[in-house]
Amino acid sequence: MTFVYLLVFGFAATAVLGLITSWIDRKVTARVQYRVGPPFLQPIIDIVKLLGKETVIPAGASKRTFLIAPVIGISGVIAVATLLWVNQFFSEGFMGDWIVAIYLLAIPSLSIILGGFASRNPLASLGASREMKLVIAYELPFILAALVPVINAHSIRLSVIIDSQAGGVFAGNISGILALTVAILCVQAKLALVPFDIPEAETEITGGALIEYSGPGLAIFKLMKNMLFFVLPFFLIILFFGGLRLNGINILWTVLEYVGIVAIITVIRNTNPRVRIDQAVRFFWGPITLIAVVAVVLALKGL
Amino acid sequence: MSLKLKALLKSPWVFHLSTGSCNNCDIEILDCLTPRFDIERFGMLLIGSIKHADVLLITGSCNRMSVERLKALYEQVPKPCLVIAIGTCAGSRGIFKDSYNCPVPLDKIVPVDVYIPGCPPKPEAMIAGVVKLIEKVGGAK
Amino acid sequence: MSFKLIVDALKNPDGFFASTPLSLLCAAFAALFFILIVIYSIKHMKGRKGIWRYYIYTIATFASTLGVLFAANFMILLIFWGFLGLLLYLMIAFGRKEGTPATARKALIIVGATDVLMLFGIVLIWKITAGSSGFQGLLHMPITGMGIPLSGTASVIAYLCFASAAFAKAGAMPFHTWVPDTAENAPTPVTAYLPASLDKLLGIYLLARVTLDVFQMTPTMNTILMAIGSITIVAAVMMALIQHDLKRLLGYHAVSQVGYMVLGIGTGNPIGIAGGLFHMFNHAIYKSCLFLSGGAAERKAGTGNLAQMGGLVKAIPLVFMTFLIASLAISGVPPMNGFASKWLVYQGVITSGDSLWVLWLIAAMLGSALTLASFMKLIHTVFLGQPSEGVKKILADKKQKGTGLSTAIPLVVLSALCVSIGVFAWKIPFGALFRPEVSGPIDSPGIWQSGTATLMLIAGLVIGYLIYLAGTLKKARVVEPFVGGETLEENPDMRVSGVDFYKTIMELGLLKGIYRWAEKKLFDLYVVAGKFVAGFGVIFSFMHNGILSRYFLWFIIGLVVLCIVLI
Repeated sequence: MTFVYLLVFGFAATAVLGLITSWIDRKVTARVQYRVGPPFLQPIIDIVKLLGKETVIPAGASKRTFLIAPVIGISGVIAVATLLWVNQFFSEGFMGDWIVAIYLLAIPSLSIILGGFASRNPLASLGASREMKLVIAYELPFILAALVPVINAHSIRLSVIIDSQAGGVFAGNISGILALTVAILCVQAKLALVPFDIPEAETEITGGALIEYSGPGLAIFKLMKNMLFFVLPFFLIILFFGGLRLNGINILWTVLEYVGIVAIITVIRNTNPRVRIDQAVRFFWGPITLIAVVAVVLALKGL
Repeated sequence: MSLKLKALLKSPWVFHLSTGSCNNCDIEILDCLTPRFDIERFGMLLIGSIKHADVLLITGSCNRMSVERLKALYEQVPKPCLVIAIGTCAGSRGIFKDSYNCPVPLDKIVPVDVYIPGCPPKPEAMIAGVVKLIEKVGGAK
Repeated sequence: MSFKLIVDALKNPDGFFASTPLSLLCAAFAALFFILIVIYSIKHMKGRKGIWRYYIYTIATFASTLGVLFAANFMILLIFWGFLGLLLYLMIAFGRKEGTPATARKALIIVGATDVLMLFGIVLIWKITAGSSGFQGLLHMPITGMGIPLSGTASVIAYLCFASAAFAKAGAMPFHTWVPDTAENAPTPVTAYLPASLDKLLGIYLLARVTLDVFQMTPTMNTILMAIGSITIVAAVMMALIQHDLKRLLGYHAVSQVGYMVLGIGTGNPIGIAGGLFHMFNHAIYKSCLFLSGGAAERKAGTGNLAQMGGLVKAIPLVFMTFLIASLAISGVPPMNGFASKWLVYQGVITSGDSLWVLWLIAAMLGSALTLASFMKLIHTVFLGQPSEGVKKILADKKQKGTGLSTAIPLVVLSALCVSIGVFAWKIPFGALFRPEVSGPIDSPGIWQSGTATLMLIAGLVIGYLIYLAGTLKKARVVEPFVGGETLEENPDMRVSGVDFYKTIMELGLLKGIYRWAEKKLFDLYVVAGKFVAGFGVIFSFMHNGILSRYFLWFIIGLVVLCIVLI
């Protein structure tokens, strides 16, 4: 049965929703800048176009690692998406899948780093090393923020976390609000969006870790990022809003929550300059961790 | 028209390559991204790495230092790739035609698909040129 | 006396030796590592002076390990334990680096000093339990089933003595400092054999034995263990981030991973203990794989300095593969074996009910992220990235490519174990294998569904591959990397070595000061104690300066003190 979930939800639904999210992001960005923006089908057209382009491999690179890195990344996203969908609709997760989800969410970053390192390009190496530093910067507050629902629900099963919010969502508590704020900023960094687009920094290291990718490899990476753009807000909704609720008026709420998170991320991305990597590390390990710690302490006190 | 080509024409990512221009054309290219012109409407994006590019926007008169690098870079673009020569310098070397520093015209180095004249060309002219290119490529096959 | 005891014991093993499922399992692993290390040593140690002695020491180490594992008697345990410390000293001395003698001495002193502590602990236990049965009672004191409550001061001190012996052997803080030094200065097989696998197995085995069998833990002591574990995890991995030597970096990871085992055992519940012990086996597998792969890379490059390596993947692709698998395992990337045991440790921490569980959980999870970071740095600087001048010469020479069979066999076996144990982790019956240390049921949360997760990941890989097939992979073209139209060959300064990837973090506010202290070795117990002893020397030389008047002064002071005491 798992395979059916996997193929139907893990990949197809996530990919479609991810592409739509990516379009929302680009459209909102354009509207913020008083532009018209791309047509609705633009993200999928981009992917199809990249699939048709030639694959070029940098000379002297580790060819196998270079080619397999995107596949590893997308398999991580598919696995975590399946895990979330299964918990959402079938309550069939297993004990401790919270930990598994958090670990699987690190695989996309890992694949970008491996790909960047394997491409024998100094700029890609720099970009990948920045990505790595960003990972260790945001991981601490992200885990702390994700712990708040666990403390509230007294369980590290995602399905229990969803169920225990039937009476009231965790985002309604003070601790929940603080943790959600922290988590959204961490998601911003996980997606490598401005102000944390340091690993890609197009104007500076011209695409960073992805600089050498073309054709299908780049298509898979783009698809992975788009899927992640859906999966991460979805994860936050499960943790803080009790999952997607698809009955009656709740559909509206769910859509509002989802679009709200995406819109916040997009607006942050459009109103900030890029920070330096040491500023990002300082930011995440300083004030953000502090807020997350406060949230955890409040959650332990039952607030 | 194949799906590949259709997708390519709907999402041409442009890479901006200056071969010794005076930067005027380069600034005008950036103008195309501004709210007034907004080339993202056509799916165009200005990207940072040449490995992601579908269209090369070449400006400048191809000086000696640039020639070999331009050749090397054209090798690196994943095909199919289109080339647009922007500005009078790229089109015909302009006033540098007899200069010691500009030995070869651009179209002797790489195949050029569209020339957009002007010093610098207006953003409208560039967009018109790109649209013509799309029509040409789309209509030909 | 000790030989007589052993001879007695061998003649009549009842009461001296006994086996439990856990010690049998440990022994099986020890045998596996023994065989693999011998295979690896054939090529690596070729042509060294006194090589026959090396093999004798290897065999003696294995025998002593078995002695410790099957000892049912404190004295037997202590004797074999002491042999192991001595053998460690002798085996480190096979290194050919400048710091080797000092390192061997340091290891001997730290391990030896904690052996003395252990003897003290044994005497204390003898005092507590059977103080009246005389010296013979001390010699025949059995290990199992004592269950001494940690209520009195004496029992707490006895426990701490045993724990410090275990920590020193396994390399947990604060007795860890010999491990990175050994990693740097000892030969690779020795490092992979002792600090990375056997000493870890023994140290954690003793800790588990003492914690669960000999003493009855209190919540406070559990919290202390968990605190030590968490600090070890984070502090050691932070040190690893900034190292410049390949094996020294790996050595710090060997310390950091001990933290997970101590943390797991400190949770005091079956899941956590099973996790800690499971992590011990997993660690021994991936760590020796890492050391052996790193040693092969170092041998190929001719140096362990990270700045002079890079691009070795073209010369030794097999070693790269095994190193990559093992580093994913140590970072706990699912579905490798490291994740399975870390998952159990996390479960144990969460269900432990300790008031500070959030802190321990965060330390453990952050430790994983930092481990991943430092291994990514290693993978870039050693295998990927651009080759250094020295490596370019190796790459140009066709003869030097490839890995010898004696190197390849251990690497392939160990990395295959990393993957297969991880994938089939949910099938492992921890309750049966880890008896008697893991007594309670661990079925309630169970092990994580590694099988399902692996299927999901494999399906993801297939989907990714299908996308590739839809693309144009077959007509791939090789071109130069894009660095703005320049060529990398003509610009050697464009090489990014990756050694200083984490300099940003090192220079961050509070961390800057801590790192500076660490560089001054203020956290190295050996150095601090050495300075302390040297301080005594200054006092003594002040007292005995040979001037008569000062001796008279001491004489008078002594008289006065004597008078006061007597009156």
